[in-house]
Amino acid sequence: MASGMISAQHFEAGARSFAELWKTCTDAQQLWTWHDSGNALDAGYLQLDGVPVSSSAASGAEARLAGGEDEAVPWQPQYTHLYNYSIAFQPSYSVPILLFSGRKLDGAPLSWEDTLRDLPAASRATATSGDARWTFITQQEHPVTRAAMHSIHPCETATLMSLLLAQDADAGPTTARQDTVDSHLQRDAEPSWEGGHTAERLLQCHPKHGVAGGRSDELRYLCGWYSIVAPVVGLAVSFKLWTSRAEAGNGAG
Amino acid sequence: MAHQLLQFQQLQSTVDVAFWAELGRLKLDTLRLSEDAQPITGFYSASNSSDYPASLTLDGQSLESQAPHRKGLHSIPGSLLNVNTFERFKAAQEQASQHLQKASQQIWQDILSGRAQEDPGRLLNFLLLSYADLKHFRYYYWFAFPVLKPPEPFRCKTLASLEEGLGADLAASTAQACAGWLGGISPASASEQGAAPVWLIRVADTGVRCQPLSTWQELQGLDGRVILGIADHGNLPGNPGWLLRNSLLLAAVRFGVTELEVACIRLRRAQPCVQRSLLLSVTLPHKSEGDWASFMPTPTGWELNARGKLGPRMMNLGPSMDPRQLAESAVDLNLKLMRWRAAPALDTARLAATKCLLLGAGTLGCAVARVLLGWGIRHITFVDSGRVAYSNPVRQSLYEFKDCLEGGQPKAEAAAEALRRIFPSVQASGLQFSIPMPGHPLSDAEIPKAEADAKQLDSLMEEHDVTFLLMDTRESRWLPTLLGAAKNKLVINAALGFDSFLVLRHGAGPSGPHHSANPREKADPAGMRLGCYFCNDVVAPLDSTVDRTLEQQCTVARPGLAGIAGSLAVEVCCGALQHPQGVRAPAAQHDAAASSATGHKDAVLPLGPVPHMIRGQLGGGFAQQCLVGSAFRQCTACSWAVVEQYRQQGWKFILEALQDPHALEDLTGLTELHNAAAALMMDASEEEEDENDSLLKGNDQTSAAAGDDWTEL
Repeated sequence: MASGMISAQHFEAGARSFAELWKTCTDAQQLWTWHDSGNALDAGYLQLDGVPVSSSAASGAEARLAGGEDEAVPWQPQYTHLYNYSIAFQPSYSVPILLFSGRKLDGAPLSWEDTLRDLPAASRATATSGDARWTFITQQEHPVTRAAMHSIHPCETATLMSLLLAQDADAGPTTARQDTVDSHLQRDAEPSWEGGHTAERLLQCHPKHGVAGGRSDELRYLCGWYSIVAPVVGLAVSFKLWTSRAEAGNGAG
Repeated sequence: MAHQLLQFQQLQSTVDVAFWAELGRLKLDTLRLSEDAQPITGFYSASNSSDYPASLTLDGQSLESQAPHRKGLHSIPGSLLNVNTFERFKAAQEQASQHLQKASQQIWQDILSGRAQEDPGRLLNFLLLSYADLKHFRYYYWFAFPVLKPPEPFRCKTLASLEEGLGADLAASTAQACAGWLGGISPASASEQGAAPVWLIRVADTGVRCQPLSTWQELQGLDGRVILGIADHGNLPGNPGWLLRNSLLLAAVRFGVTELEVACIRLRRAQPCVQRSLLLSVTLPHKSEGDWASFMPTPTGWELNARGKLGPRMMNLGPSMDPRQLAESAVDLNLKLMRWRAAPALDTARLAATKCLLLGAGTLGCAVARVLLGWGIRHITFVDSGRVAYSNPVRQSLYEFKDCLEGGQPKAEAAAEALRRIFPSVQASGLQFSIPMPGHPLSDAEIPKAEADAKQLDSLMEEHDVTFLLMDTRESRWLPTLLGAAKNKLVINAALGFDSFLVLRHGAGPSGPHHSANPREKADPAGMRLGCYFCNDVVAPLDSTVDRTLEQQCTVARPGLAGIAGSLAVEVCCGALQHPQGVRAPAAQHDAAASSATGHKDAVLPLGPVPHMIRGQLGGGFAQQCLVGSAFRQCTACSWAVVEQYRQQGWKFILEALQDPHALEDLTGLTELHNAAAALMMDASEEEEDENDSLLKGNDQTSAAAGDDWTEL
């Protein structure tokens, strides 16, 4: 894991622990759940279904009688988009990959333009530009379900994770490394942090000597990775992920 | 408190892309032209989010004859009326009320007969009208979730959350019992369709139990409360969902009660939630059994479309199902990846919009076209006069054996066809004609054809942004070189010897007759006009096929050479297209944009500086050199005199040049130059020490091929 990569087995163990831990950290109505791949070759994946995102394309249509019937709730325009998220193992890069796809309530898949509008403003700006080294959003096939989805491109993930993990290993973080990670974080992730926690504070909350000690390496890997990629697609990260003393942290794999 | 009119939240449909894909397959393989109603299965679960309602979903399994039971989902039977044309769809829409009448009649019969009480899924029987435009991946559809209006509306006495309505303890045990029912744990709910979406909750001293709807009559003699349970798709805090309506009518008819408690079970994190679930007390209309039998309820239930109107919806799935569109967006994304990793300022849209004209569809033409596709260029036109020969496919990557049969396909069209096979979204075309060449005299009969060809070439170069010269003779490059200079358009030249190649981008067209004293415009290297293919020549192009061995005439080169030169030609082209100065881009070694603004040079030159000319050879050790040469004032193809003459006289001037290439030498002053050179040679041999700067400095060889004035890098 020092290379920033993770094996399929460690991924599964970490992801299962993560899903357990996540339950205790959030009030969200939808939860990450583990799905087996259904074959012996692929690792399974975590799935988070039906997360509503209010479309920013709302226009001013008004509520009115539904088909002229007074026993029906008056009709109102709907601007909700529903997103499915998936955390899968990317075997070629040996890293986790966050995939997502959106649809309208009637099931129509969202276009890339619609999807882009639903992203946090900071990601929208960097999603397609060359400035974003690891927040670049691209189209990828889900490694297990083979569905066409959007994802953060996995090719810088290992570099990023090795920087994070290097900090774990060092007693005092190397300044140069810290700077690199911070500049990434500030540019790409900061605006969507829940409760205004900065990335810096996350890093100070050192998994080894921090409050969330005693966790398995793979769970720390997943938590660290998630804390950085989730805000890019607008998923809230709970600070409790780092502070709660969940027994789940002791590895379900 | 007056009893409120109970308003229901409409059920909405969700159709997964997989359903349409499956319907397309079913239509092609099985249904074909049949428009008979097909049984289908819809799935829904109780609402699991306060933000949006649950919907009735059709997916890839909805068309299976025995749709499998799926955990947490209720299977609802439905009927699909898929018609063959848009007109038939419109006609079916007009008969909407008959369709609805028929479907609701069935539900009403099932209520009266008791079948619906045995199998509550029948209460929710739905209808789907559709037309699948499989060619354009557009799907027109309209759902009906038929409900039967009672003789008087249902009214609501009380409405509260389950927790408030039952008290925390009872609500918790009710939720637990319902969880057992919904999860299929309770043996009574287990069936092939999964848990029934409507059931009974019996609250007695002994505890809370869930039972099938059919046990109502048995429960009447017993103590305790009986509550109607329903898996509620609604998410509104003050309204139950649509599917309760027929269940309430069933209660009025079959149970004969005028008041009923209803628990609308909703979920949170897939478990019944006492805060979100509703407890209602509803008043029902009363009639005697006989009166119910003769009652004809009015149906309603067509789904509203996205604009809130009664009418069909349309789903355009081209972007996610049409393989052509999928290929297109995948290619775009790939190019964007290049932008991300290596060339952030790359303007991929500009490349995609560039129209390329390829003169010659041989080894070079094939190689160039394929690399252009790789760069995301979508518009490619081939010109070639030949047909595909048996020797071609092994060297020319766009042709196959079958293209050689029956005398051979015309190369240009066969190449365009191959590009369309490779990437269907490409706009490729092929034109079969030859390019008029100086030094290949025309008979009177041939002149009109040559004129038409020259004019066609002129208009083609006008329509395209870049012209590639990929022919196998030197003199066929003359006319397009001249036209490129006259139009000031980018011209890329690639030429092969047996084991050497030349890739060259022509400079901009001449801007006027003014010159420095030096015939080569070299004063400011960065501002100098770059030379064309003919700038090094001091003779007009002649028929080069006359004094050649067979090998040279067939232009057999080392097979790897075309790929190398073709690739370089495209890279030079794309580099120039991405250069802010375009056709005027200075040669790499003189390019201020590349050297001065270090650090930001990527932004200025996304693909870096672009060489003027690349010469390479495999024979002498695989060497490759970048060279630069200025435009020659007396060039027979790109000089001001030639361009002006063409602008003024057009075809007349071309014809003259074709018939007598020496006319070009006269025009450009080359004849004079030759004479001067001859005189000078004599002088030089007589006075060897004379270092006098002559007119001919650096241009003293009359050999057309040598051209050694190019500055080496």
